[in-house]
Amino acid sequence: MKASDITLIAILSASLTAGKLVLSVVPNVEVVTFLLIVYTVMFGVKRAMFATIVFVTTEVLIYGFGTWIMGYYVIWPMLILLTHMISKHTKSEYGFAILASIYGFSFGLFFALFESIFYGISYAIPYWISGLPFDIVHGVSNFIIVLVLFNPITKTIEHLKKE
Amino acid sequence: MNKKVMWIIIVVLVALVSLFMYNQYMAPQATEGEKSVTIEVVVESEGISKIYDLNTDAEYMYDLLMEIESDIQPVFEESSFGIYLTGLEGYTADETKNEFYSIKVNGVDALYGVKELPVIDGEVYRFELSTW
Repeated sequence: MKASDITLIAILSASLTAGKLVLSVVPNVEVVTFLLIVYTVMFGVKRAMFATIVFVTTEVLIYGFGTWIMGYYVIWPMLILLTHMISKHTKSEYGFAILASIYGFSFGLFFALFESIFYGISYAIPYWISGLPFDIVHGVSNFIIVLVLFNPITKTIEHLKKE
Repeated sequence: MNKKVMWIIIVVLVALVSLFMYNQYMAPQATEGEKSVTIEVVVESEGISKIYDLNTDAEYMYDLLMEIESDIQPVFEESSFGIYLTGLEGYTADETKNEFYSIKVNGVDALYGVKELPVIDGEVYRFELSTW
């Protein structure tokens, strides 16, 4: 790996952490999904994946270790792989907005299933149902953020890359 | 109308309908009228163990705690996720010791915080200082 890649990964992961912290006061409105989609499309799977691993590890340092962190090590890399698959077929912001939206809506379900490994399915179902309003907010906000910001940000990055 | 704006409006409307449906059919429902319930407060480290047998019209636990505020002395903390119960009977959970008040309904962990926890006739609510 080149030194420029290491620097880029550091900047990308720092922006993920900063983006997460800035919006942490608003429940379930976040830019991590959006940024990871943009980074995967603009910098490729490998760099986005490394940035994600650094980002999730930083989360451990900030919030401490919990079972949810193992879910983070799965769910964010999964988003990168899905983005990569979709980007082979379309570069439209609508495709990525739908992906981000589905991701937001199913976030609670994923964690409910993941937590059920530790606490059982009887814990998972109420966990998921009681979090549904937050999942709805998550899905809608993801859709809007990606739809509005995807083109301007990718164009800016494209422009910067050329320079 | 701009295509994107139209899609955003559609998605927001669908979300509002979904939230309405959730509140109507899936959210915890409180019942009106008088109920007889028991509240237990246990703070083992402070030697606090109290039982309240109550008759109340309160629909949610927060309202019930406020009804007996002078006796049970609840302390709440506001966060972006809602209200947390942090103190009872004059003892406030110490975050630096990882303390919190666990809420059990008939011996089972409550699924909601005090603001959303419905008060149901005959149930036993146990508030116990625990650590995580």
